[in-house]
Amino acid sequence: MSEKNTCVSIYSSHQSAEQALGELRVEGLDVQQISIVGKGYQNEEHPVGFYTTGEHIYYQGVQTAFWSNLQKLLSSASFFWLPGFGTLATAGFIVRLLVEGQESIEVGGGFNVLGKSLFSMGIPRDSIVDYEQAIKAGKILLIVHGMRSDVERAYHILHSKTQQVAVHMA
Amino acid sequence: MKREKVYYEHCKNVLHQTVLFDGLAEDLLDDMLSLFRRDTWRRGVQLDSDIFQERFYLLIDGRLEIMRVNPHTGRSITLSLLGPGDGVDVVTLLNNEPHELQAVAIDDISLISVPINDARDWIDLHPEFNRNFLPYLGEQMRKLEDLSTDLALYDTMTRLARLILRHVAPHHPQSVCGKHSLKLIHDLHDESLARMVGSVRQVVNRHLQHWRKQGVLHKDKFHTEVTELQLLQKFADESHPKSKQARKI
Repeated sequence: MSEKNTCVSIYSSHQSAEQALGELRVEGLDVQQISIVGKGYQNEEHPVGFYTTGEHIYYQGVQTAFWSNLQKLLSSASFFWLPGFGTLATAGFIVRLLVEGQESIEVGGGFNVLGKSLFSMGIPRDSIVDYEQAIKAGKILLIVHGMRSDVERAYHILHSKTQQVAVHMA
Repeated sequence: MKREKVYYEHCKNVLHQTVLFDGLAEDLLDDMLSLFRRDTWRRGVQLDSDIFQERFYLLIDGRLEIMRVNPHTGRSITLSLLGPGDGVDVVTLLNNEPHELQAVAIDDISLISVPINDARDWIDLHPEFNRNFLPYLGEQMRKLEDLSTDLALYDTMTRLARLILRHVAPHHPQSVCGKHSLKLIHDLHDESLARMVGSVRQVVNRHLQHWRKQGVLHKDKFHTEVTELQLLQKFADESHPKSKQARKI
């Protein structure tokens, strides 16, 4: 079994995503396996983006506390503008995938760097389209990536009657 | 699964058309679906049987090959080829006995899954589901019976003809050219077909080429169709002289 196994949970608010992330940490899941992906932008009139004033990187925007905390918790964060997609804010494991080795990922179908990164995590094309639409609609993805046992564990922590979680294996 | 999702409706449509869930009341199906989670397996992924001891999987899109492999020789045989609406390893719903099998995704596949104990509860608690489950189980047993009978009693050509005939799409309107579509196996490689009839690629390829030359089968862009159904039926009938003659090739 390869390690291209992923569990994805979609949240309507950054508060609920933050709470879910907290539950994963309390249960001892390795934060290196976790990623958060969102739009990071809500029709604001203020400047939006990441900046640094020394050691730390900060997020500027409506969800300042959320994305700045994520950068500290998950070690890395990014903010991109993707042609045809718009803004994309990410934190955690996925950041490395967004900026490294994109040339070697053959997904086809005109996927952007986000689609390619999700594909390389074991997510199929149909689901990538669904997730991209969710992000465009302002939702936040919480992704756990790793061995099947880790992904199953994350699923058991995250899922509930109201919270839909999908498991992808590749 | 949450009800408002487009995928939820798609799952319901698929399940309504299957033996396992056909005729179940909407509210019962909704209750069952609320317990399911969405899974996807990328094409080529291989899974051992332990996964099926934990959760019961239902195929929604794509095909899954269930096979058994001899680890010493590498030889393998396909026990079943599952399509949309099929349950994976349904025998685990009956008991916990571990058994050897490997599941291989032939396409990128979508599934829904539920903890195995929840699925077992359906059998105990819902006679409506049980009324569907038992005939479905019977159908799966008959398929295994066909496989074992074919392996023991018939030669490769007959087995291959019988396999193809079993996969002629039922109720499929015959096309203008008189071709019959195949379900599930229409684009399989010879290697995969060989695993389904307990043979090897070279032998299966020889028979398929012979049938294509005779006009029994037609292959276009990796898509095989039956052009002479009755002739293929004769090949499937071991006692038929034409079958015996063809066997000499």
